[in-house]
Amino acid sequence: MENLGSLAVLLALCAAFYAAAASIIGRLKRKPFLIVSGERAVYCVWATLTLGVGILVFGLITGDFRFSYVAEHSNHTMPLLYKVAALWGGQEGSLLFWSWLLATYSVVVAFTNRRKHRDFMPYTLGVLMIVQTFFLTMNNFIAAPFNMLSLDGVITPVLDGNGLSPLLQYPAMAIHPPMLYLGYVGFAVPFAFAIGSLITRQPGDGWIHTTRRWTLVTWLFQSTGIMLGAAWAYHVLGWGGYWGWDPVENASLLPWLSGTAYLHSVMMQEKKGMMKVWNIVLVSATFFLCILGTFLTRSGIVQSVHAFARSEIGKYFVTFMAVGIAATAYLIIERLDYLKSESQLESVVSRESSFLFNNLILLASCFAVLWGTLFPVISEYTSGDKISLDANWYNRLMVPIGLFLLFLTGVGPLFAWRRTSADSLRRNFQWPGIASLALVGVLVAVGVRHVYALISLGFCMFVALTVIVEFYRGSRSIAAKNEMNFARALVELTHRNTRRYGGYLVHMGIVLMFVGFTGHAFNKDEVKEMNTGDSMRVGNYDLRMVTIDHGDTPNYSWDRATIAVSKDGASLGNLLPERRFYKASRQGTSEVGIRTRLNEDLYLNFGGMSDDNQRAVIQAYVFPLVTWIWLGTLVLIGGTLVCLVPSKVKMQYARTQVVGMTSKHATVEK
Amino acid sequence: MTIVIACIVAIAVIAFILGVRAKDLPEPELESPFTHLDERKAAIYENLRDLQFEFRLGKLSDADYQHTKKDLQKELAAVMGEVDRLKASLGVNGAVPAAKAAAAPQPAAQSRQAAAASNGIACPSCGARFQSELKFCGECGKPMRVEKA
Amino acid sequence: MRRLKNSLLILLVAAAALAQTASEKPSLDVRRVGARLQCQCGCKDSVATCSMLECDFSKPAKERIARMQAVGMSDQQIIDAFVRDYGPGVYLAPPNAFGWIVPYAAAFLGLGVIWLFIRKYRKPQLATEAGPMEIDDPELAKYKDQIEQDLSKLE
Repeated sequence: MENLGSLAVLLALCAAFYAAAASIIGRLKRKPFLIVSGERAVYCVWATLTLGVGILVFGLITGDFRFSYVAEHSNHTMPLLYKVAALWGGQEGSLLFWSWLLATYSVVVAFTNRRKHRDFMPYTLGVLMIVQTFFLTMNNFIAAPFNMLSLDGVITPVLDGNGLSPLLQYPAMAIHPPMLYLGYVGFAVPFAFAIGSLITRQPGDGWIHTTRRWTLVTWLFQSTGIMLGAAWAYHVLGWGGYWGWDPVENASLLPWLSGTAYLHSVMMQEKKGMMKVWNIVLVSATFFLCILGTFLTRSGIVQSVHAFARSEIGKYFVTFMAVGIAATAYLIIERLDYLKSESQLESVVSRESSFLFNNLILLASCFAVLWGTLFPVISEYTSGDKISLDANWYNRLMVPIGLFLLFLTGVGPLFAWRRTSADSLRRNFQWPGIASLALVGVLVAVGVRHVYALISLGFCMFVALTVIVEFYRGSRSIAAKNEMNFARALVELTHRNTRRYGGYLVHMGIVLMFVGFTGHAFNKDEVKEMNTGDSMRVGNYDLRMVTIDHGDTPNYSWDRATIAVSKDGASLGNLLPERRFYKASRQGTSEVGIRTRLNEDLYLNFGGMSDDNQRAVIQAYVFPLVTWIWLGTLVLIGGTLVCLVPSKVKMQYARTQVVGMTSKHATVEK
Repeated sequence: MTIVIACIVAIAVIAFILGVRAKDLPEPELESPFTHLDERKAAIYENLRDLQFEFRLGKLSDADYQHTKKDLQKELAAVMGEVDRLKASLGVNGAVPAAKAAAAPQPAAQSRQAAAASNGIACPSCGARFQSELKFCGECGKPMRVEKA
Repeated sequence: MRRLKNSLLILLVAAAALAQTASEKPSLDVRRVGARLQCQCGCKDSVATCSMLECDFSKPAKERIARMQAVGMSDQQIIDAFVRDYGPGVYLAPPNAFGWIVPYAAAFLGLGVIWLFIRKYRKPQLATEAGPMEIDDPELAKYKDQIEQDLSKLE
């Protein structure tokens, strides 16, 4: 069993190496047989890796405690979901899972393009397989998942394992890593296509069209993964935060920021053939940031809540990234002539410029986060000074940047492509501008004095209005022209250009999230030791301790408080914050009691028992507007899904007819 | 038992990778040398359509609209000019711009035979000529076979 | 005078008792000082950010900080006390000017790049008067019919 698993992973490594070599040599020497053989090796990598992953998962589910990985990350009492999730709970398993995801993506790429892009596909697959070879080397020699527990050279199983870290035993957390990994791994595909088409000097922007959906899907996975992580932190960690600027959180944000920049700047290339160098740089940067993210999570170079796994794989990652970045940089510089811009800027006041600033802001924030993540490490290596950056440092730096980004979100789409005259600007800015100023005025009048909050809510109003106006004007025009009702016109409008209107929806989601972030300025908290019958007050809520219970299950023991909540004398029911102590891992967790409403959350955490073990320490928080963050996330996901729907375009532009071309090219469904 | 399974897996993998037969070579999808120009053209048409729509919604001033429209049309003309030049250089279909869909196959086959008779076979992608029949073009690597019309 | 001293002492004791819970939810003040102290439990985090529940270093340390703050010690005095007990390795410096300057410098560098980009790719401004469509381009003249025909098919 274990030998079969090791063999499968080893075979996968050989196949991946062969696939990379065969594809690239086959393409250089123009040997179609070698190319096809290399392609088949890609399928074999996937098949053998699937076998390996299958064996590990089987071991986790059946509780085969001869495997050291199973013994460390699983135990008998865990529910099935978490037994499977233990696959990505530890270093060896998660790296194997990474490899398997990459193999899966590669197979999909190889299969869907088996008859297309024959010119550069071998290079694309070659790049993917080089990355695959690197990860499989890790799987085989650095972080082998099939090590056995042995005593005096004899394989000796333990009776029960340590179990998954109880902090991770939470549904959102079970799917948070795969989502992030799907996002991390996915950017390898656009990168590989970009490199393939760069090497072969493909005319046009074929790689962008081919990878458009890949990039969007990957971005969607990343966004979802990041927000699942935030939701997990909010609901599980017990201090009510959703983002702590933890190095590993930062690691997931970095490729998201540069990926977002790429999604925007790629439009410049599609519409006008500009920024070609920049787009290749961005897609490469995003890919390497994904690798860096994996590295930060898995090397333990910067410690944090997430670095459950610590080992010496760091130098391999650093070498791989250094070589990869150098090779990419060389390739780009060598082919600068091929990446020449096709057109020019007509005017400084235009959509193009707004994209430039959008890219600047996204990359500046990306750099700031990267700097904050690595600065303590750099500082310790260079000067020996130990330094710590707290959340305040990030907040002071990132809040203004975030607000400026929010502003651009609203302003960008109001500029027209190529040139925008003052007259056009006035038409678009007037009413949203006045309305958001009015909102700020009203907020000041009711007594809000927090400057950032005022700016943020003003911008939110502005962006939301511009998006709504966009939908309203478009739908009204279509409704009038085609004599349909407004709702149908709205669908028709969106369907005609799903990318644009889906994009607006994503912007709307971002606005809702910023409203939620703004609520942070108005948080309230209280802490009190309470015995049965005691009461406390937080915000407008009165809390009264009804009972404190204790109990025990095979997996954990618990203390639970039953707290009656009332507001202005009216009862709002009970909340049950709970504290658990997991026996296998000897770790405690919080099950917070939350009353969620659109305007604010009441959040109760059972902090622990007091020193005399009589009273419960209750931490009570009021978090205004937090729900808007989760709503915004849903809107963002919905918007991205809309972007993925093919636009309904009845466009019959004439395709150039060539000898022997199939007629399917005549009509192009976009 | 494990050894047997291991051997079977290893042999299956090696056999699958190395056992590529001639009929396993994929039939490549035909690629037009005009693809990138067509895409460029499509992008400009789309820009024009968006421009018209935004103008109708009142997002643009009249001057901006006229000015940008003219720019776009100029670019379109430039792309069309390039298509014709490429056509002329490849000797495809004369320089008639944008023949309609059904027109192609018949004259195409004839012109290809004619070309083959005169000075070898031309690659439909890059225009390089070869004396003998090849599956893939030796210049650009694209398929030479085009009978799938 | 004596009564005043007594009541002050009582106040201090009360403050210390309140501070018992500080480890469970460190106040902003505790977090501020804790961020400057390296946790000694084996993690690389600060006392304020050590995520280990029931940590044998950061939990008592946070309580100690809270107690010291309750008796009115300044941040520097508290940190000095910790350095005296655990050696200079326990001190984490705040980000120096370098940490602040680099991100901003990068942003300004980016602005510079944009400025260069705009200068390089800015189209020389010709006669900006657009006017009605006049055909001044021979190529445009050649394809105008074709374009008009295609345009009419849009939408």
